[in-house]
Amino acid sequence: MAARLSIELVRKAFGDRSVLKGASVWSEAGKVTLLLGKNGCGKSTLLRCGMGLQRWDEGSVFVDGKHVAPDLPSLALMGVFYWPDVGLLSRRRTIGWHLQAVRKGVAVDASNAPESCAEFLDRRPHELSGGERRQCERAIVEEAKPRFLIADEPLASAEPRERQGICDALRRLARNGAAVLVTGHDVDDLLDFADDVVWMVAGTTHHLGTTAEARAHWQFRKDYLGGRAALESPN
Amino acid sequence: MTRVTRAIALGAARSALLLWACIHVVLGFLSGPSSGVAAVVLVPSIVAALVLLDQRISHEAVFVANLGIRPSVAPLAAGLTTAGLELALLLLPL
Repeated sequence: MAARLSIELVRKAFGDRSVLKGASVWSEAGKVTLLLGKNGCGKSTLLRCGMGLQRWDEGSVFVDGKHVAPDLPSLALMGVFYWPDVGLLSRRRTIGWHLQAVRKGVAVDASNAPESCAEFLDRRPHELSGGERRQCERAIVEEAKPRFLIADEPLASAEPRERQGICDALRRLARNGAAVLVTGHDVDDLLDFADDVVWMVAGTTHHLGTTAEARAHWQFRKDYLGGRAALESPN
Repeated sequence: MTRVTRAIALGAARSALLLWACIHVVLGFLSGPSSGVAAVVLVPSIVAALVLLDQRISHEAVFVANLGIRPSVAPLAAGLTTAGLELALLLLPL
Protein backbone atom coordinates (compact mmCIF):
# COMPACT_ATOMS: atom_id res chain seq x y z
CA MET A 1 0.00 0.00 0.00
CA ALA A 2 1.34 3.44 -0.95
CA ALA A 3 2.09 5.67 2.03
CA ARG A 4 -0.72 8.05 2.83
CA LEU A 5 -1.37 10.37 5.73
CA SER A 6 -4.68 12.12 6.16
CA ILE A 7 -6.02 14.54 8.73
CA GLU A 8 -9.78 14.38 8.45
CA LEU A 9 -12.89 16.34 9.39
CA VAL A 10 -11.21 18.51 11.98
CA ARG A 11 -13.31 20.90 14.02
CA LYS A 12 -11.76 23.46 16.30
CA ALA A 13 -13.15 26.53 18.01
CA PHE A 14 -11.47 29.20 20.09
CA GLY A 15 -14.27 30.24 22.41
CA ASP A 16 -17.20 31.26 20.21
CA ARG A 17 -15.04 31.53 17.10
CA SER A 18 -15.11 28.39 14.98
CA VAL A 19 -11.77 28.14 13.13
CA LEU A 20 -11.97 24.69 11.58
CA LYS A 21 -15.34 23.41 10.36
CA GLY A 22 -14.68 19.87 9.24
CA ALA A 23 -11.40 20.54 7.38
CA SER A 24 -9.43 17.68 5.80
CA VAL A 25 -6.04 17.41 4.16
CA TRP A 26 -3.77 14.56 3.11
CA SER A 27 -0.47 13.62 1.54
CA GLU A 28 0.38 10.64 -0.62
CA ALA A 29 3.63 8.87 -1.43
CA GLY A 30 5.58 10.46 -4.23
CA LYS A 31 3.38 13.55 -4.36
CA VAL A 32 3.55 17.13 -3.16
CA THR A 33 0.20 18.38 -1.89
CA LEU A 34 -0.29 22.10 -1.41
CA LEU A 35 -2.58 23.48 1.26
CA LEU A 36 -3.33 27.07 0.30
CA GLY A 37 -5.52 29.73 1.81
CA LYS A 38 -5.59 33.27 3.12
CA ASN A 39 -3.84 34.25 6.36
CA GLY A 40 -5.93 33.22 9.35
CA CYS A 41 -8.05 30.68 7.45
CA GLY A 42 -6.80 27.85 9.72
CA LYS A 43 -4.03 26.11 7.73
CA SER A 44 -1.47 26.05 10.55
CA THR A 45 -4.13 25.21 13.13
CA LEU A 46 -5.22 22.22 11.03
CA LEU A 47 -1.64 20.93 10.80
CA ARG A 48 -0.91 21.57 14.46
CA CYS A 49 -4.11 19.75 15.46
CA GLY A 50 -3.20 16.81 13.22
CA MET A 51 0.27 16.64 14.78
CA GLY A 52 -1.19 16.75 18.28
CA LEU A 53 0.42 20.10 19.11
CA GLN A 54 -2.96 21.75 19.57
CA ARG A 55 -6.16 20.20 20.85
CA TRP A 56 -9.05 19.79 18.45
CA ASP A 57 -12.72 19.45 19.26
CA GLU A 58 -13.15 16.65 16.76
CA GLY A 59 -11.14 14.98 14.01
CA SER A 60 -9.16 11.92 12.93
CA VAL A 61 -5.68 11.08 11.67
CA PHE A 62 -5.01 8.09 9.44
CA VAL A 63 -1.59 6.75 8.48
CA ASP A 64 -1.56 4.12 5.74
CA GLY A 65 -5.30 3.64 6.29
CA LYS A 66 -4.90 3.00 10.00
CA HIS A 67 -6.59 5.28 12.52
CA VAL A 68 -3.92 6.74 14.82
CA ALA A 69 -3.75 9.23 17.68
CA PRO A 70 -2.77 12.82 16.86
CA ASP A 71 0.52 12.65 18.72
CA LEU A 72 3.76 13.82 17.10
CA PRO A 73 6.19 11.43 18.89
CA SER A 74 4.02 8.44 17.86
CA LEU A 75 3.56 9.81 14.34
CA ALA A 76 7.32 10.39 14.09
CA LEU A 77 7.89 6.69 14.72
CA MET A 78 5.71 6.06 11.62
CA GLY A 79 7.94 8.34 9.57
CA VAL A 80 6.16 11.69 9.98
CA PHE A 81 8.30 14.84 10.23
CA TYR A 82 6.70 18.19 11.05
CA TRP A 83 8.46 21.39 9.96
CA PRO A 84 6.64 24.18 11.82
CA ASP A 85 6.14 27.70 10.51
CA VAL A 86 7.83 29.17 13.59
CA GLY A 87 11.05 27.30 12.83
CA LEU A 88 12.44 23.89 13.55
CA LEU A 89 15.61 24.63 15.49
CA SER A 90 16.07 24.66 19.24
CA ARG A 91 17.53 27.96 20.36
CA ARG A 92 19.79 26.22 22.89
CA ARG A 93 21.42 23.78 20.48
CA THR A 94 23.95 24.04 17.70
CA ILE A 95 23.23 23.14 14.09
CA GLY A 96 25.65 20.22 14.51
CA TRP A 97 23.57 18.88 17.42
CA HIS A 98 20.41 18.95 15.29
CA LEU A 99 22.12 17.12 12.44
CA GLN A 100 23.57 14.54 14.80
CA ALA A 101 20.12 14.02 16.35
CA VAL A 102 18.41 13.32 13.01
CA ARG A 103 21.32 11.04 12.07
CA LYS A 104 20.55 9.10 15.24
CA GLY A 105 23.77 9.95 17.01
CA VAL A 106 26.22 9.64 14.13
CA ALA A 107 28.90 12.29 14.69
CA VAL A 108 28.77 15.25 12.33
CA ASP A 109 31.76 17.32 11.25
CA ALA A 110 32.64 19.52 8.30
CA SER A 111 33.68 16.47 6.26
CA ASN A 112 30.31 14.71 6.38
CA ALA A 113 27.87 17.59 6.93
CA PRO A 114 25.56 18.75 4.14
CA GLU A 115 27.26 21.47 2.13
CA SER A 116 24.52 24.02 2.82
CA CYS A 117 25.20 24.09 6.56
CA ALA A 118 28.77 22.80 6.95
CA GLU A 119 30.03 26.26 7.95
CA PHE A 120 27.35 26.68 10.63
CA LEU A 121 27.84 23.45 12.61
CA ASP A 122 29.05 25.15 15.81
CA ARG A 123 26.51 27.96 15.70
CA ARG A 124 23.18 28.28 17.46
CA PRO A 125 20.09 29.48 15.55
CA HIS A 126 20.19 33.00 17.02
CA GLU A 127 23.69 33.40 15.61
CA LEU A 128 22.34 32.90 12.07
CA SER A 129 20.25 35.09 9.80
CA GLY A 130 16.67 34.07 8.99
CA GLY A 131 17.76 32.82 5.56
CA GLU A 132 20.69 30.83 6.98
CA ARG A 133 18.37 29.22 9.51
CA ARG A 134 16.01 28.15 6.70
CA GLN A 135 19.00 26.77 4.79
CA CYS A 136 20.01 24.65 7.81
CA GLU A 137 16.43 23.55 8.46
CA ARG A 138 16.13 22.38 4.87
CA ALA A 139 19.33 20.30 5.24
CA ILE A 140 18.12 18.81 8.54
CA VAL A 141 14.73 17.88 7.05
CA GLU A 142 16.45 16.16 4.13
CA GLU A 143 18.79 14.31 6.50
CA ALA A 144 15.75 13.08 8.47
CA LYS A 145 14.52 11.27 5.32
CA PRO A 146 10.85 11.34 6.36
CA ARG A 147 8.13 9.14 4.84
CA PHE A 148 5.71 12.00 5.41
CA LEU A 149 6.81 15.61 5.53
CA ILE A 150 4.39 18.21 6.84
CA ALA A 151 5.98 21.58 6.07
CA ASP A 152 4.17 24.70 7.28
CA GLU A 153 5.30 27.72 5.24
CA PRO A 154 8.84 26.43 4.58
CA LEU A 155 9.55 29.26 2.11
CA ALA A 156 8.82 32.06 4.58
CA SER A 157 11.76 34.47 5.00
CA ALA A 158 13.90 32.59 2.47
CA GLU A 159 15.68 34.55 -0.25
CA PRO A 160 14.86 33.63 -3.89
CA ARG A 161 17.86 31.30 -4.29
CA GLU A 162 17.12 29.49 -1.04
CA ARG A 163 13.42 29.27 -1.96
CA GLN A 164 14.53 27.38 -5.04
CA GLY A 165 16.73 25.17 -2.87
CA ILE A 166 13.81 24.35 -0.58
CA CYS A 167 11.50 23.61 -3.53
CA ASP A 168 14.16 21.31 -5.00
CA ALA A 169 14.52 19.53 -1.65
CA LEU A 170 10.74 19.01 -1.37
CA ARG A 171 10.66 17.70 -4.92
CA ARG A 172 13.60 15.35 -4.23
CA LEU A 173 11.87 13.97 -1.14
CA ALA A 174 8.67 13.30 -3.12
CA ARG A 175 10.67 11.73 -5.97
CA ASN A 176 12.24 9.39 -3.42
CA GLY A 177 8.79 8.26 -2.33
CA ALA A 178 7.93 10.63 0.52
CA ALA A 179 4.47 12.11 0.89
CA VAL A 180 4.91 15.88 1.14
CA LEU A 181 2.31 18.33 2.41
CA VAL A 182 3.21 22.02 2.16
CA THR A 183 1.54 25.31 3.02
CA GLY A 184 2.65 28.78 1.99
CA HIS A 185 1.83 31.86 0.00
CA ASP A 186 4.69 31.73 -2.50
CA VAL A 187 2.37 30.37 -5.16
CA ASP A 188 4.68 31.19 -8.06
CA ASP A 189 7.24 28.76 -6.64
CA LEU A 190 4.88 26.23 -5.11
CA LEU A 191 2.35 25.80 -7.92
CA ASP A 192 5.21 24.99 -10.29
CA PHE A 193 5.97 21.63 -8.78
CA ALA A 194 2.98 20.52 -6.69
CA ASP A 195 0.81 17.58 -7.73
CA ASP A 196 -2.34 18.34 -5.82
CA VAL A 197 -3.93 21.51 -4.44
CA VAL A 198 -6.27 21.84 -1.50
CA TRP A 199 -7.80 25.28 -0.91
CA MET A 200 -8.83 26.32 2.54
CA VAL A 201 -11.57 28.89 2.96
CA ALA A 202 -12.99 29.95 6.32
CA GLY A 203 -12.16 26.68 8.06
CA THR A 204 -13.31 24.36 5.29
CA THR A 205 -11.20 22.63 2.62
CA HIS A 206 -11.83 22.18 -1.09
CA HIS A 207 -9.84 19.78 -3.25
CA LEU A 208 -9.04 21.65 -6.46
CA GLY A 209 -7.09 18.83 -8.16
CA THR A 210 -3.85 19.37 -10.07
CA THR A 211 -2.09 22.72 -10.21
CA ALA A 212 -3.46 23.23 -13.74
CA GLU A 213 -6.98 22.60 -12.46
CA ALA A 214 -6.35 24.97 -9.54
CA ARG A 215 -5.11 27.72 -11.86
CA ALA A 216 -8.23 27.21 -13.97
CA HIS A 217 -10.53 27.50 -10.95
CA TRP A 218 -12.08 30.92 -11.34
CA GLN A 219 -13.13 31.41 -7.71
CA PHE A 220 -9.66 30.35 -6.48
CA ARG A 221 -8.03 32.82 -8.85
CA LYS A 222 -10.36 35.62 -7.88
CA ASP A 223 -10.40 35.11 -4.11
CA TYR A 224 -6.89 33.80 -3.47
CA LEU A 225 -4.42 34.39 -6.27
CA GLY A 226 -5.71 37.90 -7.00
CA GLY A 227 -3.73 40.30 -9.19
CA ARG A 228 -3.43 39.45 -12.88
CA ALA A 229 -4.62 35.86 -12.33
CA ALA A 230 -7.96 37.13 -11.06
CA LEU A 231 -8.51 39.21 -14.19
CA GLU A 232 -7.87 36.39 -16.63
CA SER A 233 -10.91 34.88 -18.29
CA PRO A 234 -12.38 31.81 -16.57
CA ASN A 235 -11.82 29.90 -19.81
CA MET B 1 0.82 37.49 25.19
CA THR B 2 3.53 36.57 22.70
CA ARG B 3 5.41 33.27 22.74
CA VAL B 4 8.56 35.00 23.92
CA THR B 5 6.81 36.84 26.76
CA ARG B 6 5.15 33.60 27.80
CA ALA B 7 8.46 31.75 27.72
CA ILE B 8 10.15 34.46 29.81
CA ALA B 9 7.24 34.57 32.26
CA LEU B 10 7.22 30.79 32.61
CA GLY B 11 11.00 30.67 32.99
CA ALA B 12 10.90 33.33 35.70
CA ALA B 13 8.00 31.60 37.46
CA ARG B 14 9.80 28.28 37.34
CA SER B 15 13.03 29.75 38.72
CA ALA B 16 11.13 31.50 41.52
CA LEU B 17 9.30 28.30 42.36
CA LEU B 18 12.47 26.21 42.37
CA LEU B 19 14.12 28.76 44.68
CA TRP B 20 11.08 28.69 46.94
CA ALA B 21 11.11 24.87 46.88
CA CYS B 22 14.81 24.81 47.84
CA ILE B 23 14.22 27.20 50.77
CA HIS B 24 11.20 25.15 51.79
CA VAL B 25 13.19 21.93 51.75
CA VAL B 26 16.05 23.46 53.79
CA LEU B 27 13.58 24.86 56.33
CA GLY B 28 11.75 21.54 56.38
CA PHE B 29 15.05 19.78 57.00
CA LEU B 30 15.84 22.13 59.88
CA SER B 31 12.40 21.86 61.49
CA GLY B 32 11.91 18.10 61.12
CA PRO B 33 9.56 15.87 59.13
CA SER B 34 6.38 17.69 60.18
CA SER B 35 6.86 20.42 57.57
CA GLY B 36 4.00 19.08 55.46
CA VAL B 37 3.67 15.98 53.37
CA ALA B 38 1.37 17.91 51.01
CA ALA B 39 4.38 19.83 49.80
CA VAL B 40 5.94 16.56 48.64
CA VAL B 41 3.09 16.27 46.16
CA LEU B 42 2.36 19.94 45.59
CA VAL B 43 5.84 21.27 44.81
CA PRO B 44 6.82 18.63 42.24
CA SER B 45 3.36 18.87 40.64
CA ILE B 46 3.70 22.62 40.17
CA VAL B 47 7.28 22.25 38.92
CA ALA B 48 6.15 19.55 36.47
CA ALA B 49 3.21 21.67 35.29
CA LEU B 50 5.42 24.70 34.69
CA VAL B 51 8.06 22.66 32.90
CA LEU B 52 5.33 21.01 30.83
CA LEU B 53 3.90 24.40 29.81
CA ASP B 54 7.37 25.60 28.97
CA GLN B 55 8.07 22.47 26.91
CA ARG B 56 4.84 22.92 24.97
CA ILE B 57 5.94 26.15 23.45
CA SER B 58 9.61 25.37 22.97
CA HIS B 59 11.09 24.61 19.58
CA GLU B 60 13.17 21.86 21.15
CA ALA B 61 10.04 20.02 22.28
CA VAL B 62 8.76 19.91 18.70
CA PHE B 63 12.17 18.94 17.36
CA VAL B 64 12.61 16.02 19.76
CA ALA B 65 8.98 14.96 19.15
CA ASN B 66 9.96 14.71 15.47
CA LEU B 67 12.54 12.14 16.55
CA GLY B 68 9.87 10.10 18.33
CA ILE B 69 10.81 11.31 21.81
CA ARG B 70 7.96 12.34 24.08
CA PRO B 71 8.70 15.79 25.55
CA SER B 72 6.48 15.05 28.55
CA VAL B 73 9.18 12.65 29.77
CA ALA B 74 11.23 15.71 30.74
CA PRO B 75 8.67 17.32 33.10
CA LEU B 76 7.78 13.93 34.52
CA ALA B 77 11.45 13.28 35.26
CA ALA B 78 11.80 16.76 36.76
CA GLY B 79 8.73 16.20 38.93
CA LEU B 80 9.88 12.78 40.10
CA THR B 81 13.40 14.03 40.84
CA THR B 82 12.05 16.94 42.89
CA ALA B 83 9.69 14.61 44.73
CA GLY B 84 12.49 12.13 45.40
CA LEU B 85 14.83 14.82 46.70
CA GLU B 86 12.18 16.34 48.95
CA LEU B 87 11.13 12.98 50.31
CA ALA B 88 14.73 12.04 51.00
CA LEU B 89 15.41 15.32 52.76
CA LEU B 90 12.20 15.10 54.81
CA LEU B 91 12.97 11.56 55.88
CA LEU B 92 16.62 12.22 56.73
CA PRO B 93 16.01 13.67 60.24
CA LEU B 94 14.10 10.47 61.14
